[in-house]
Amino acid sequence: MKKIIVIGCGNIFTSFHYPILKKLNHTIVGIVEPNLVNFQNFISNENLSNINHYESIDLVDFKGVDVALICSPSAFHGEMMKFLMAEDVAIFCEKPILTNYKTIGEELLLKASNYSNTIQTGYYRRFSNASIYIKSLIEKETFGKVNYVNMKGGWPAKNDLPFSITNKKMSGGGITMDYGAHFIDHCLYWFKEVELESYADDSKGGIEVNSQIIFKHQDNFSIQIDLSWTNFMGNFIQLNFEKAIIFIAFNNPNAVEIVELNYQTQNMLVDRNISKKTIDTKKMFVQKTSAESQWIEFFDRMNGGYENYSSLKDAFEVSNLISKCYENRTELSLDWGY
Amino acid sequence: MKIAVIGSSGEIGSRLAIHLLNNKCDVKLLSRNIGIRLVRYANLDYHSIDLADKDKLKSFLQDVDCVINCAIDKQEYGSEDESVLKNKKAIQNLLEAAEESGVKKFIELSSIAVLPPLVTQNVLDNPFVYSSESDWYTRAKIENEKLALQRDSTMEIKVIRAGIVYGPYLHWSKLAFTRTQNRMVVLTKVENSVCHAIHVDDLVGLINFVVDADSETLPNLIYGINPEIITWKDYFEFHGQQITNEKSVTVMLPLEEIKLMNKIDGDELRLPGFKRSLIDSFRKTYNALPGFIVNSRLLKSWTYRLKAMNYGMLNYQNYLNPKRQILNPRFYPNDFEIDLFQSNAMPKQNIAYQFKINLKDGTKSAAKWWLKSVNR
Repeated sequence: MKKIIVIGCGNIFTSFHYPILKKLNHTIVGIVEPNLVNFQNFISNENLSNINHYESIDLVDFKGVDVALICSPSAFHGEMMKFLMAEDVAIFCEKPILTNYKTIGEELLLKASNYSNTIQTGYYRRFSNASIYIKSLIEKETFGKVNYVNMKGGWPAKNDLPFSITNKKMSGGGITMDYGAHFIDHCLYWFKEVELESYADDSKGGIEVNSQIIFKHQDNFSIQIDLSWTNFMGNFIQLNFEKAIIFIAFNNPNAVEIVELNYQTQNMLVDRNISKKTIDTKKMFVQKTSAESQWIEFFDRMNGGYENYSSLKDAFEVSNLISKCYENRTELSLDWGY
Repeated sequence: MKIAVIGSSGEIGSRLAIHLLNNKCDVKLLSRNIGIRLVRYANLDYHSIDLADKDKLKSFLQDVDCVINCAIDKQEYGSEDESVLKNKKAIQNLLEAAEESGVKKFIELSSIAVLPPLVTQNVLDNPFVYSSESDWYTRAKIENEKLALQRDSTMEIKVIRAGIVYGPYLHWSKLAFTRTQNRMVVLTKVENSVCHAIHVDDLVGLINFVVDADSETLPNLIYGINPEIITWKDYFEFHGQQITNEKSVTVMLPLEEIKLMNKIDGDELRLPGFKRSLIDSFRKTYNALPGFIVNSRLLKSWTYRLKAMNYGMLNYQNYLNPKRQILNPRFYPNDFEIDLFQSNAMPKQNIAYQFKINLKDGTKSAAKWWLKSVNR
């Protein structure tokens, strides 16, 4: 049972991380939260006591604390991590690890790589069974080499997105930084290295709500990522292999849909209902939810285990790629108007 | 001129706000939340103020010359009456605060929903004989319009009765695309039926025109309806043609059948409005979600239709897909439509604004937006 200090008591912690930590029998010993109401709501909703409240991180005594969980607005992640590394606690940092790689990215990566304790970032979607299965298909070239990848993510966001996302100073960016980070992480998880070819978004000085990223892989295929908070994008990934087209959906982390290309279907617009088979990967791999699996790997690493699915290097590279996207931004024209 | 847009996160309000921002207008925004389409902009003069708080409204409007009210409170309250009351109170506060702050012009965005459902020439000749529909939306719009038009004010107050506002992000286009992609639209057959459509960008253009125009040359009540004569059949088919290669199927249903349906009374389903409880009861009854409910009239018509089918009172097989097959009439709402929102008269344009976007071009831009989305 580990003792955990939480930095940021918003939705991500209360509805996403806390139920898992509770299930795994770990203890929250303190919460850093400038907004007292958030803290009070959480402890009263969960009927908890003996949790210390701190207004800021420098007031915390880390003696006896095993883990620090960073769930603050994205722009503070890097500085928090820097601070926590001086305290020698294991750090679980929500994604993205940095909102501006240029400023402290390389310095922090070096520090983090040599850190004596565990550091992990919340790219939990790579723990999904479907993602793990796709990785094996790519590595084994079961359906040949990859020709093209298209990822589509996002949904019409409600007007009540939290301030930590809509305020650029706190979020560092819009959908590319927030939801897009998961797709970029998948690119690195599956293909190890990608290079930015082009980036466009619709920001007018605030955060972007529509964007398009195109990466190039060294094997000369493109990866196109379309993201939107105004349109329903389906949240799926399509991979065109030499011998099959494969779909996975973020909303269904176990299903892999395979359309094998044969004499009839090759070189024509593929009807997904022709020769389609759906594989349920549920029993192939970890049999936990991806969110739970990432925590299990984290605690395993604290006990001497290794990075199995997670990757600190990739987490930094995601931030590096997002920074490159913003540096090379061109305007995304929405031809239906704004 | 400083312009305040009230309800700036809504479908029309946000389009208007974006237009003003893109044209470098001096604009202040007010809505409950900033709105996803406006977060793209930096340094917005945005305020989240409760319209019940008159003092805050007054200080918000201190340096404003023109107020455009696009807000409607769609929150669910204890009763429909309460919804109407909240909306009424909100505009009352807004009008008073605007007057006390020295605002010169006040534009209230109303709707043709304030008129009786079948808009005839007689209805248009008597524009202040209002609808007797009991749903909160219609009642709230009527009350707001009355308060604005009947006010003895130091401000110049103009009311725009907008028609069926369609275009990118607009629910009326969503409805048409959802229907036509399922290739079955059934409408009431009304002689010389017209659809009072207006593209959202034309409505924005019209509002701008009213903002800039010399008030003395303008009537107090203005219709926001494109004078292009189109029918509801055109409305659905133009939308459908933009997103499918096949011609969408539109069936006109004789009015006699509607009358027949009107005899089938379902009190629990006739309760109109956007209320969640009603949608839930709809889902429970028909095992399907009417996710595209746009107003009470449509809801009422669907429920009548479905109820009639369940009673076996209509020979619905005549209106099915070309194969004339149906798995279960309970799953019908996505494929079936009867719209009582019919009219056979067009208001005369009482303003010199030049409407620019015809239905064909307007549906094209809406379709570009719609087709960007996938896996609906």
